[in-house]
Amino acid sequence: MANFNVMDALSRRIDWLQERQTVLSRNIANANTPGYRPQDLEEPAFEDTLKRALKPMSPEVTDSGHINASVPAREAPDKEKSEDTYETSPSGNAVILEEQMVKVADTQMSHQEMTSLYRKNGQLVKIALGKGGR
Amino acid sequence: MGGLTDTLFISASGMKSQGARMRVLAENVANANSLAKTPEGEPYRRKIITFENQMNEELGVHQVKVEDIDRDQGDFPQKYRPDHPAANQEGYVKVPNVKPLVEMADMKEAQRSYEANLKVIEASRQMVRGTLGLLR
Repeated sequence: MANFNVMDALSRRIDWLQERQTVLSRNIANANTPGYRPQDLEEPAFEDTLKRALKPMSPEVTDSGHINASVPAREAPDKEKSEDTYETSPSGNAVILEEQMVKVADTQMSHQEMTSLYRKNGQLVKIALGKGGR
Repeated sequence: MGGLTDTLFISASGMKSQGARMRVLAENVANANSLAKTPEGEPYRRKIITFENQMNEELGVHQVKVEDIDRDQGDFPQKYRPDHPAANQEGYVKVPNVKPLVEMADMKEAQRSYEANLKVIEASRQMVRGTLGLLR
């Protein structure tokens, strides 16, 4: 079912956005903590995600003689990274409130977008099932 | 929803720290004219608050905590007031090392940080509402 793949992708994006919101809130809460460097989540790369989606199979080890091949894990892109910012205050704090607020707004907007897409998809499924969609 | 509830706790800790900062600033401003009683005594010494990012084991998140409230070690300015009980031989009185301009600027910053945290809570709340809206 192609639709459910979309739902899966959307819910993972929503998860990612929620995680990012947590990281951003930590940055803003620490806007006056000496020596604090802001962090952000790494944007998941489309290629990697696609590769994982196309090759979801992993070799099964059924015998102790098998070589255990490693396949990239499904949910990897939740990497926190330290950011390079425009300026650092004398106390060593590098959080710029404006920059962080823009990111919060961006995260919020994407989240809204994702949830409405998710809802729309649900409605499509409902139509297919012959209920609800008029 | 775990992530977003953490967000609320983190922002709340930020607001609490800024609140504590405002309290210290208020103390400084209120005591800007608190002089000593004797020539040997010290007038009010300005307080400085510092924050730190600390792991909260219970919640499993990093929160902001007030690290310490220190005293400003700067020198006291002197004023010529020969009739004051705290005046020294030359007639000078030590006055608190509180600079109203610095306190006001600090207050603005505290206010701005507080507002930013509040906005984050609002944004998070809307995100939660969006997620819950999927049920409808």
